Order: sequence, then structure tokens, then C-alpha cells
Amino acid sequence: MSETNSPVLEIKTEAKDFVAHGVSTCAGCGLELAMRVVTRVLGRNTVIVIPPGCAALFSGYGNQTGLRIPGFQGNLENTAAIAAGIKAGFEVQGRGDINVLGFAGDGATVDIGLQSLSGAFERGDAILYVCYDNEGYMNTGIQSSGSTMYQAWTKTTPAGKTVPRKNVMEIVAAHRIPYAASASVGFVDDLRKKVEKAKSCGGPSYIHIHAPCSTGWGFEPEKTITLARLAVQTRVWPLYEIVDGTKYRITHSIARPKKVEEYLRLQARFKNLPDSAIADVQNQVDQEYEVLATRLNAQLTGAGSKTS
Amino acid sequence: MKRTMMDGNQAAAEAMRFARIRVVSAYPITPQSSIAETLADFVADGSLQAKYLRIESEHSALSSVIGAQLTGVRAGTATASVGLALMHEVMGVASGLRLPIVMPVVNRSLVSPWNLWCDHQDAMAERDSGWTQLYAENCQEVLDLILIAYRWSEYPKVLLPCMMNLDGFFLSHLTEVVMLPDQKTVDAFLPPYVPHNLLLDPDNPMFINNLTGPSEFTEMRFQQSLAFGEALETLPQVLEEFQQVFGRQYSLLDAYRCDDAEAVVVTMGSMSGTARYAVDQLRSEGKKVGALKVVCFRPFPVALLRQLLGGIPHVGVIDRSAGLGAESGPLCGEVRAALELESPEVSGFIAGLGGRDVRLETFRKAFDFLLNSPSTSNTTWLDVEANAMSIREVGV
Amino acid sequence: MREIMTDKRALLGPVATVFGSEHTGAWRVQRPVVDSKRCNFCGECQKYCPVDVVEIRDDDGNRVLSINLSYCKGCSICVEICARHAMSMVPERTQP
Repeated sequence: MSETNSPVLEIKTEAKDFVAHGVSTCAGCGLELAMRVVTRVLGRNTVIVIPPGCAALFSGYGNQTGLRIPGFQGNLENTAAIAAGIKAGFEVQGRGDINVLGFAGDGATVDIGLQSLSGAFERGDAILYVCYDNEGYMNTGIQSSGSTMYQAWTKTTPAGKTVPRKNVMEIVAAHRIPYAASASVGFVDDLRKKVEKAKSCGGPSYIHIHAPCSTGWGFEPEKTITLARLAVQTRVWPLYEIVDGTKYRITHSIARPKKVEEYLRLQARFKNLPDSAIADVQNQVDQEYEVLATRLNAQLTGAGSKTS
Repeated sequence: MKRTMMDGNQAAAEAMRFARIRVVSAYPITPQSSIAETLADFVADGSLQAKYLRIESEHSALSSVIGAQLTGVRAGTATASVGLALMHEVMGVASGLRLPIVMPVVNRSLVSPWNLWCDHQDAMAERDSGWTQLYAENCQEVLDLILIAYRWSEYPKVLLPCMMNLDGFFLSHLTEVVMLPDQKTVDAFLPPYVPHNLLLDPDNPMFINNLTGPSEFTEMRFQQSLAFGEALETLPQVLEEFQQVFGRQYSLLDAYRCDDAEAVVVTMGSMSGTARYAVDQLRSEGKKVGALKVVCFRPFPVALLRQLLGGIPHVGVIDRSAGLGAESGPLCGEVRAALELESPEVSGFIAGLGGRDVRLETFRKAFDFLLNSPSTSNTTWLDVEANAMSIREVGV
Repeated sequence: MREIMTDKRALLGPVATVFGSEHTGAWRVQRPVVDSKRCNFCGECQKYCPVDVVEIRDDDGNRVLSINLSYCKGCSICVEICARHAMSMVPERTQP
């Protein structure tokens, strides 16, 4: 293996960690923040798998890449399968300590990628799968995904999405993986802690990061973090973790949730929503939260209800 | 060499075990399933040191094999029919990334109609995928050609994935005598895998398979086409090496009694044995006929084909797939193109689709056509029933 | 069959081996400036800057916050997020 021993990567830009500064994501891109935080926590001993989508901007173009860790661009639906194969290959060579990270958008995860995700989790393949959720197929020009919010405008739901989004956390929980968590680019410290936990959980893990998209949702880039926080504060995007698929814990309590309308009114994709539709959205958010509350409050015999 | 009895699927699994694959990721599908099962047994009993991914689809099977191979180990999968079709999206990834993955394919028809039995349509649908393709005639060849495929594919100037085809049921489920080598002999022929090209390794980071623009895409496809040229040149040498180590001689094209033949039938896969039997029978009746078996379909050995068949007055090619919409089946099309300048008359035949046995009678019909009928560019379906249009007649 | 090794090695197929940046600073129409009298170096702007171009240095007890203008896209998240309103945006340049 003499020819492949010497590292081939030419460093032509400075970077504080593993991601170049000049990546062609939109100004104020939520996913860009997520990518930096996640890779910084995981560190150098990481291989990343990125499907086509906005994150592929980090994969790069031609001979240039924006990542300083090894990476692979798969197809839209097989991120988890490729990651599982990579992990298996490392494990049989005694290099199972290498973090294998899947970093895929909501379309690539909850729609077309759900099968391979489910397979990897059922098998217990020790990959960390991060879904950055900008609520649509943004890289192809703002089409609706299974994770697009109820009533949202997209190019394929021009009259507003008529059904709520899939609860992917519940789907993941059904696989009883050691660690799953929702996260938000508006709460970086919370996200960092979750990546640390995922990294050391000893099995498959999943983090679903809310990443507001100024281009796709219709707001000024400066509002990315504000909106991410509002989503949490209105309970549109509760922050919680699930251990072993059964033990739920809120990681950022919202004592008095704000009205969903405050969140919707800041985004052009909810422009001109009549009051009745806003009330619908509020109801839907409340109902989803009630389901989560049941999980949070559930006491399992012998297992205890909440872990620290 | 140990004399054993085993079927084609068993032989395929043995070959992959001999090749010391480290990751297995295979999804069950008739008639391949016993390959996945046998490999599971090997992993469970420790005779194969590998991680077994109980993968949830063929698309994921090849995807995970690509991921594993990129870390620097041999990773294995096998499939058939619609399973191969499901892999289609990822086939080009293996080839474009120059990964020397070897995959047994148990040839079975595509749908619809639903059919479980032997047909080459699955592999033919992948003929432009950038994979090399070999076809086995018997269970010994299944074992041998897979070992050959690993050695061949891993040549630094080749680096192409290889599909090793074995006829569904006719080979996969046929128990024959197979001479099994020992591991030491195989190791002498097939050295450990060394990743020569792209690699995933935190100690040597690179980003693999990112977006490639019009300014470079053509060059990368050209690299692959050059590799097919290298593959064509390299295979005879690998077959020579194999002969020296194992004592069995193979060639890209196997000509049988073609030298003075007036008519030759070209075949691939298990029907080739029946072809030679038919030739012998017809020869004993005074007919000057021969048979040519294609072992290496991709790259297609044009020069060698011209050498062997140029000057034969009547050539017939039996395609085991329909090649709908084209003037002839795919193999016939390739043979015609290769012989265009040499022999004006190449007739196309279709036979053996969907598991229909290609029998002695079928070959006799083909030779009869070649020797006695006026030349035609139409394709003759040798074994189709006369009432084809009314087999689903419904009553009043 | 012997391999002939060449001096330089070229990888085959699609792979990126140059770690590089685009000059995203050229996108800006406005640029962040920090009011050093108001800034308490809490680091929130650094934490939330998507392109990670906020630098906080300590020069002998003298703390300085600066922005790497080669890459700052002018998104203004730092302005929005600063609890002390120490950041503001100024137009990048006037048309000549």
C-alpha cells in the first residue's frame, strides 16, 4: 500500500476546524451552522456521507472540497446503507473507533431515505445519522417533503401543505436505538451536548436538527437563529432526547409556550394564512405536543421514567 | 484439489470465501438466496471472517458494499433478476469509482410477466453499466471464474467491478462435480486486496464522488473506457496464470469444432454444453457445424471473435433475452457489429427465455435454419409456440 | 505481470483532493462592525455565525473581536443575536 500512504489532500484555505469558511451555502444558512457544530464535536476521526442536497455544497465541485475529513457523496436514498457499509469495513479492520456520520436533509431522510435508515437502525449499525431539516427539497428549488410543516407554501404545495409532517422521531424511536434527539441550530450548546452523547452511545444514533432556510421559507437571513428559537418556544420544534426508544426527556423546557402565530407571521411561506388556518396549525402543534407529553410522562415498570 | 459435489450457488459462495471477503451484504431473491444463506453459515461457523450485514434491499446491498470496499476491504454481494434491476442506480457508482467488486448474478428474467427462471435479461439490462461481465457454463466455471474475476478486477490498470453470471436454476440449483482448491493455492493466485485508488481513511482524507462538471466528466468516462481495453488485454494473462496454478484452461471465447464449420451457433451460459452435444450429433450425421461459447461478454472480444468466426458462412447467435425493439437480441447485435466486415450473414435467434430449457431440438432447428434457409436479417424465435397470440384466450 | 510505477500518481474517478474556499466575502452588500465599548465578548455571535468568521483575540488583556471579511456573507445574524446591540451593519461600499 506504499502509494496510498502519503496524504493527498492539498490545503488551500484556512479553517478553524474541518470545514472551509467559503462554502457556497446561502447567507445565514442554518444547515451550515449545523455542519460546523457537528463536525467540530466529532473531530478528525470521522468519515462523513452526504447525499445530493444542500449539504453537498460541502462535498464540493470538481477537485475542490470544503471538508477536511474524508467523505463520500452517495445517492439520495442510501446514506444510511453506505454509512453502514463503511462502518462494517472499518470494524473488520479493527478501526471501529472511527465515527461514521451520515449528514442528510429531510427529503433524503424522511422520504426516499427512510428504508435504508430503518434497515441500519434495526440491524444496530453504529452510525451517527444527522438529519438537517429545512423542511423541503431546497437544493432542487423548494419542493415539499414529508417533513414540510402543515400549511406551508412550497413549489409543490402552492396552496399550502394540507397534511402535517411525519413524526420521524417516533419512527426512529420504534427502532429502539440507544440515542435519538431533536435539536436546533438556535440552541448550539444543546446540539453540542447531543452530538457528544450520540458519539459515545455505543450503537446507532440519530439527531434531527431544525435548520431554518431563509431562501425556502422566505425571511431575511438575519432571522435564521431567531426563527429557530421561536420554533422551539412555540413547541413547533420541541427539544428532547429518547434513550433506547423508550425513555424521553425534554432538554429545553418551555414553561409558557408562545403562540404559533408569532412564528408563522415571520415567514413568507405562511403569508396570507387566514386565521382559521393559523388556528389549525396551533391545534396540530398542540396535539403533537400532547403525544410527546404522554411519552415524557410515561413510567416504565422497573426502568424509571427519566434519565439524566 | 478436493473432489466435491455442489450446486452453482454453493460454488459461488465457496469462491467468495476463498477470496476472503470481509463484509457480506446480500438480500435474498430466488434463485440466489442460497448464496446469501451459505455465506451466513460461513460467517456463523467462523470459516469466513466477515461482518454480515442483514441488509434490507438490493439497492442498499450494493450501496453498503461500495461503502465497505472504499475502506479498503473486499466486500461481497450477489443477486438476480429484479434485485439486480433494483441495484441499477448504484451500479454506475461502483464502476465510476473504479471499485473491483465481484458480484455473482444468478440470471433470471425481469418482469413482467413474473417469472422465476433462467433468462439473461437481468444482466443484459446492465451491459452499459461499466461492469465487466463473465458467463459460466457449469459449476466448476462458477467457482473458477469468480476467483479469476477478483484477480482480474484488482489489476491497477483495470479496477472495474465484475458481474459473474450463472444461469438461474440450471446452474444455481444443479449439483455437479466441482474440484475445490485449498486456501493456500488460492492465496498463491489471489493476493490480499490492496486499495490502489480511492480510499476512505481519516489519516488520508479525500472527498469521494462529489459533483463533477462538464470539463472533467468526459475524461473520467474515457478513463473507464481505457480500463475496458486494459481488461481485454489483461484477462488472457490472468487465465494463463490460473491455468498454471489450478490446471484448468479458460479463454474469452471457446470455439468448438469451428475450424471447417459451415454453420456456427454462438451461445452464453449453461446452454453451451447442449450446443456442443448438438454439434457432435450433427457432425456424426455429416453436417459441418460448430459452437462458440462466449465467456467474456464485457469487454466484448471483437478481435478474437473476428479471428474465430470470420469466414464462417453461416453464424447464428442464440440470445437468452428478447432485446425488444432492436433488430436482434443484444448478443447477436454485438456479434453482427463485430463481424460486419467479415461475414455477411449473421442470423439472430431468441431462445430459453423465462426458464425454458434450450434443448437439443432447439439447436437442431437453429442449425437447420442456418444451413438451409435463405439469409435474413429477421430474428427467429426458435422455441416459441405457434399459438403465441392466443395462449390467454378467454371464452365467450 | 509487472506494474510500471510512474513518478506522479493520479487518482482515477471523481475525487476532490484540494481543500479550498470560495471568496464568499464578495457576496456582501453590507458588513458587520462591532462597537467595542458595548461588546462584552460573550461569544454568542461567534457561536452562531454560520461561516465561523468571528475571531475573539486576547492581546495582553485587551480583547478584540474581528470578522474575517474574506468570507463573511453579510447575513447579519450576529447583529440580530447580540444581546447588547454591539453589532451593526454598514453598507459594504457605495457605487462609484
